[in-house]
Amino acid sequence: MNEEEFHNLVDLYYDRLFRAARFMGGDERVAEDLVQDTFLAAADARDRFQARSSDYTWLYGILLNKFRRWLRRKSLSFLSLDSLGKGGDSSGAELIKSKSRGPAEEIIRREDIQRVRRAMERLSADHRAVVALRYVEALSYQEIADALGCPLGTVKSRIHYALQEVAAYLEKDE
Amino acid sequence: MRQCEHIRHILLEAADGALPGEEMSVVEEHLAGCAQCRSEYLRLKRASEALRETVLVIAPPTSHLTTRRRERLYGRMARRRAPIRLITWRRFVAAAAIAAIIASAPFIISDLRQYRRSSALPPIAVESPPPASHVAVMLGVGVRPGRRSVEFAPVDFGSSHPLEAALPTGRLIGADTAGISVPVSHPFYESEESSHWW
Repeated sequence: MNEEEFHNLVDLYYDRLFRAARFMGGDERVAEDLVQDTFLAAADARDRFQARSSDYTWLYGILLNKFRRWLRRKSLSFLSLDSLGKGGDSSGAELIKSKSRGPAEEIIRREDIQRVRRAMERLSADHRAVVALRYVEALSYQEIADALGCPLGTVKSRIHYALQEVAAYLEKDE
Repeated sequence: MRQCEHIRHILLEAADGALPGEEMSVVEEHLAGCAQCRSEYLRLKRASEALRETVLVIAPPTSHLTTRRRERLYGRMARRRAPIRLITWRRFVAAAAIAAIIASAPFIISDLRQYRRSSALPPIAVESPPPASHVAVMLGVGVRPGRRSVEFAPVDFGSSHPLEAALPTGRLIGADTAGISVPVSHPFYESEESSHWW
């Protein structure tokens, strides 16, 4: 892969991969490292890429492998639950902060997000990969199945499991 | 009840916004009259919406490729592309040191041989034992004032060394593992100022 091709790939897919990595489980620094490692590995393996899938699917597969490896090392301590309150994610939080929300609604919303993140921590890398494609990439179930090379039923069951997990956390302490 | 079974199969997609319009209206019609399915639908729908909201907070759809990140990534890539330098200054110094050792090897061997020949000289006849500092000098090392050990270069003093013969009751009592110091014992050197240990 020449330099120009590498730069094009980065320009096209960096944000999407970063968002997926961030949602699947890293803080900003971890997500950055995972995505960078993904691009470097892609540059090494480009000659072996046989274009049976799209560039994004191929990169996502590499990212997923990197994420699995990181998760094994890190043993699931991927989300800092305090970061919302301390401004670690303030850019995103502030970005979507609706002016129409009252203070009470805002607090409830933040609590819900923290519960979702706790639920996410309990999911396996494979479940998170499906969930990220569904909610970050907004892919259809069939597109997710094609991207990950797994049956449609598997995708549905993983999403169902993830939603059940999240729902259980949302109902806690209510 | 039978309809519940059918609805349950598509409830996930309905709650997750993945169901086509016409099927969705069938689900809605059922939910209006079935509290159990409606409850499950609302539960999943809330989870689905919470996940979407979480994505917006922790991974918002903005540009994440900042200048710093781009430079870091391109820098890492450039370093991987850089040709491997066969000659670095470290390697050059190491090679020069090895060459110097190899070049000086014949001289070192020659000196060692000469030393062995000289150590084969007949014993020196000594009528009275020399002073302690003198012995140390003879050992080829010198004595540090105030120290009771003799420092010397790591030389192997065999039993045939002239010093051994010259001091019939004296002896060299070993060397430490690094061969740095040798305690010397001889009754003659026992005095009020110093013990027989050097």
